[in-house]
Amino acid sequence: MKTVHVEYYAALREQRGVPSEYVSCDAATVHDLYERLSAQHGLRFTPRNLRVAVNDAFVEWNHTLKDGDRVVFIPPVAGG
Amino acid sequence: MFTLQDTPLNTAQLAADLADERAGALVAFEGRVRNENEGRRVHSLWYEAYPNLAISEGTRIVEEAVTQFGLIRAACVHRVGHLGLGDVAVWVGALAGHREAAFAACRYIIDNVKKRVPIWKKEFYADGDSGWINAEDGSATVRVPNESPAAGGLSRTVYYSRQARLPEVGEAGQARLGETRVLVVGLGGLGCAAAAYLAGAGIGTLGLVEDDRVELSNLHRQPLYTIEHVGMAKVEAAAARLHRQNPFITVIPERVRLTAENSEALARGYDIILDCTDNLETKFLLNDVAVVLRKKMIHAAVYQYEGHLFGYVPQENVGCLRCLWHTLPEPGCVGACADVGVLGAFVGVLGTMQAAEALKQALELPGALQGEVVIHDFLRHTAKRLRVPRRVNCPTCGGEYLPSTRYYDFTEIEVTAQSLTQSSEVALVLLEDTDKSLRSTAVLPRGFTWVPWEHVKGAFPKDKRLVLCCEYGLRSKYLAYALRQQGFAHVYSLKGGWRSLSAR
Repeated sequence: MKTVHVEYYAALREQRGVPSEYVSCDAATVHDLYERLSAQHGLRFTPRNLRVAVNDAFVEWNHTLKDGDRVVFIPPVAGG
Repeated sequence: MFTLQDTPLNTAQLAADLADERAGALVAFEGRVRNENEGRRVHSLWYEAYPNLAISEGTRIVEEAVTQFGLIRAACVHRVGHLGLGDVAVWVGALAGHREAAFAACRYIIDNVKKRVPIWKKEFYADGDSGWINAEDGSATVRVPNESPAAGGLSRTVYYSRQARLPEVGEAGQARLGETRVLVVGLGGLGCAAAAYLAGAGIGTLGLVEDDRVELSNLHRQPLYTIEHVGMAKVEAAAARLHRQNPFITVIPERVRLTAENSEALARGYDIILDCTDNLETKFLLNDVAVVLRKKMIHAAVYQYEGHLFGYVPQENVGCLRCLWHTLPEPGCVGACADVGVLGAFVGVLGTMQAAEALKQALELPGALQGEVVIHDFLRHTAKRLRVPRRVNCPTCGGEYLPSTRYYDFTEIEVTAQSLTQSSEVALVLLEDTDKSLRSTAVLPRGFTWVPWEHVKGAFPKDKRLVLCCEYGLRSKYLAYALRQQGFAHVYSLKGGWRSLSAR
């Protein structure tokens, strides 16, 4: 088990209902983590339409998740 | 280079003065006095210039054309004083190795002279009346030099006194701001805030691109406009307002929608581009323009109480918008203000940040965003700053491009979708991972198959005919040109990109 801090932005935050949370799980990659959160909370974004950052750096979806990681999910925005 | 003359122009002599044995083409343009303007009979004209500024700005335009279009040389002469019907008011000559560059450069010079050079025209009508007309007929171009009558005798020194007190600004910094040219694309909530602060700061040339009219539902977040402006073109209302805010700068309103066809011409003359648009399609188009023309670019986008600010600079290892978003987000997953709602202050603060970033770039202040995105949560007052590294194999900014941004002739390289003929030897090489549904709706010419760029790069068969294809046809033509320089003789670019295929 590892515990990570997860932040959600924009429409994704609305779908989740909270801006951030601690999550305990055994997900191997950020992709696994998102799939679990998505199934659990009914998140409607697919990974291809999101970017993910871990510890303040953008990473690919196969990035290995470690205990204590700070994970951020960012959807595209375009308003102006 | 650029001169003013109060006697009739000898066009044959002007052309002869340009002659050079290296030249394959001379394109000359004569602007003449005609007998009618907007339905009124004209019998003569009076041209008046602000000479020092006219010559320096005119010379700058001619120099820009020589550099950008790779000319041998160019000249422009503008008449001042009294002119009769049929007299030549302005003459432009562009001398180049080939005709394409000469035509394009000649057009560039006359268009920009009309927009940017402080020359005023008084028309004398057949009915005895007369009136002052802006040099650029029918446009709201505002060109008011320092100490001009239009500035009403106001002091430039007093105007800028509060910001000149900053050690990073001072006289030298103010001069630098005056030399900086910024293009603001989109005059909504972001653009209104950004343009107002850039004008106030004394950005010397402020271009405005927008084709919308002011609507009542705009006013709560777009403070350049008032109820009197509803129904008016935004660029005209904004240009008039900005001119009254700062009479010491040039405002160039461009009442057009940014398209793949006009984007290069609109952006070419500017140093910094501000993306104040509200949709991802235009943001990606602006990104492509910034990358191929090597411009600094500041993108912004807002979602309710949250804002993204992304600064791109044409430097090594700096990612572009397509490095941030590897694949184009699917339609419907991006919120727009009209759908999700927005409060003016929150979009305004982000637009103000765009202006601040442009000023940081112009003044070389520390901390400017260079290939970084900042995600602001305005409710919680938190900000996350993330570096956007250049993506491996990114065909947009991956260093495959040409050594300079001068004008290139793409006529041999660009092919239209209609002209693509059936051939098993031809592959359509995609420069980005597009949405599958989009790709399936695109009408692909028979015999063509989509091939991802990653599969071609590195194993590029020099004898095979390949058509590069990107979203708008901008990156692909520059890339094709660069590959031809490297000996790939059969590389082409799909004009208009895959957007032109799906539109059919």
